[in-house]
Amino acid sequence: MISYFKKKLNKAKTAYENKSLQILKYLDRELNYEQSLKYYTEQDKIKKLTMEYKSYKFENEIHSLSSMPETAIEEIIRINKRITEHTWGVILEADKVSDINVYIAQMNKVQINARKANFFVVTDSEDILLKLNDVFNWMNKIFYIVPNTYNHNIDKKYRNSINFHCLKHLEKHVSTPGSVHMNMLKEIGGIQVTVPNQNRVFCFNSKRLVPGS
Amino acid sequence: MKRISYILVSRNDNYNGDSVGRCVNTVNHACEIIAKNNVVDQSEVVLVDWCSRSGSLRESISSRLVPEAKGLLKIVTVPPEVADRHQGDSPFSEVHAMNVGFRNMEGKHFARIDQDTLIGQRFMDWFYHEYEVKDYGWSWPRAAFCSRRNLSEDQSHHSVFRDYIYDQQLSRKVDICHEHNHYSRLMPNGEVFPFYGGAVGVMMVDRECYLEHKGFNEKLVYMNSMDTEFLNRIAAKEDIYNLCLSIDADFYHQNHDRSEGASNDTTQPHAQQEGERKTNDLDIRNKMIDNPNPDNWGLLDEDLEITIV
Repeated sequence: MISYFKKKLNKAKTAYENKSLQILKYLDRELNYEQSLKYYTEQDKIKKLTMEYKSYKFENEIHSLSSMPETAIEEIIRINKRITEHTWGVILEADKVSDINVYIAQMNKVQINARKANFFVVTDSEDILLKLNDVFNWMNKIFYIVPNTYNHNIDKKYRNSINFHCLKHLEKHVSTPGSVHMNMLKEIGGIQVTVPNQNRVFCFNSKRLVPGS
Repeated sequence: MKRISYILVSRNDNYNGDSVGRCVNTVNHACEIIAKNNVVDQSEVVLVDWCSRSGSLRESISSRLVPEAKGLLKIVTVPPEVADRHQGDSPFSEVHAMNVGFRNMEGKHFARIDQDTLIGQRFMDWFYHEYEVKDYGWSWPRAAFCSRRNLSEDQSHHSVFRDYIYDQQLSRKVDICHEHNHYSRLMPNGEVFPFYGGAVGVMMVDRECYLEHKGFNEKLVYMNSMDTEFLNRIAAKEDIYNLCLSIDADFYHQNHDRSEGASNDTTQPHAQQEGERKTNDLDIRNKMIDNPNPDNWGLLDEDLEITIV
């Protein structure tokens, strides 16, 4: 009987210890975040995507909304809920990205001029998405990359269409040159797609970074 | 006129360990990479020896220089009796030293690198084969800034540091210093870390632009923030080239301890490694200030010893 109680108490002790450690860790993260707004603090690297993602191919064929299953429509609605009037579309076909910094620079320019801007990134590369999440986040707490959702029960063939239907509601986009989605978006009309010039993009009008601007 | 003058400022002391050893490494590497790229005729390395109190830097390093330094390296010596007339209670006024470098350079472009920072191959390719060489139909900005990477103690070892500079894959594995600035991160409070606000890899300013702005503000005689203040003045008037992203931080800082480093500087990620050196008021990053330099800034009226090695 005594050994039974001892065992139980030990179990409870371990559980409390683990919970306390978790709370302490959480409080450290909160403190770190708070300090980061005032002092320079080391950024925690993101080594794993914090959103659902599975790579897929860009394709010319887009399924119309009426031809897609209900789960796919729900997915579009779920993503659109995370998109605001300040969201930019970012279309990155991996084989056309020779230097990711070109796109980071372009996205920097967007943020310098519109501080509320965030980005809905559509890409066929998990590495690219991971890199952008690592760069455009704040202390693993605030994310300027709109989180994707990925319902694994939806047939893979609809993924390209789901993302396109989300993109077409956005007014402004950054894209790799000649991307499949870019050409289709242009056909819709009234949509701005910027393909950064890989040399010019690094010239920064920094007036808005200057104190008092 | 040469195209570029690499400006290094240092002195003969033991700042944060073997500072002279690190300076020799940087000078030798700069001369080697210039020679390796066959651009000696377009380049010079200017080392300003500011206020060495126990023998000049020139004497201390002359026997340790590589053959490539011959004809490339110029040493400008500012003795303590001259330096002390300008730097007040600061032990090492970088702003004065850099302006002295500018006054004594022959290049069209002033390129300030830290005396313990190594130049990478991507920068060489960009500067000598692209910048103001290729015409893309727009004017190249007159100022550029590149952040740097921090070599660890092991990576800094003389037997391996070249691998981290010349091997394009390895070079990108070296940690970027001040990543928030390198990526110009947007903070939740709406402020953006400017790409030119972090630790310097290279700060490049065209000669005419430097003159128009009267150089580094000679009131800022203590450590840190002087580059940002200067670049803020330039940024208010013209574009600055984001060399950080363009060449992906292709400068490499040699590892050293920071016991004598900056004190109370919350802009540094290593602020917890509290040093003892007084820093410039952080406020100069957050507001525009006038540069009150007199016409003879950069010790223009002083008679300084110049040695071509």
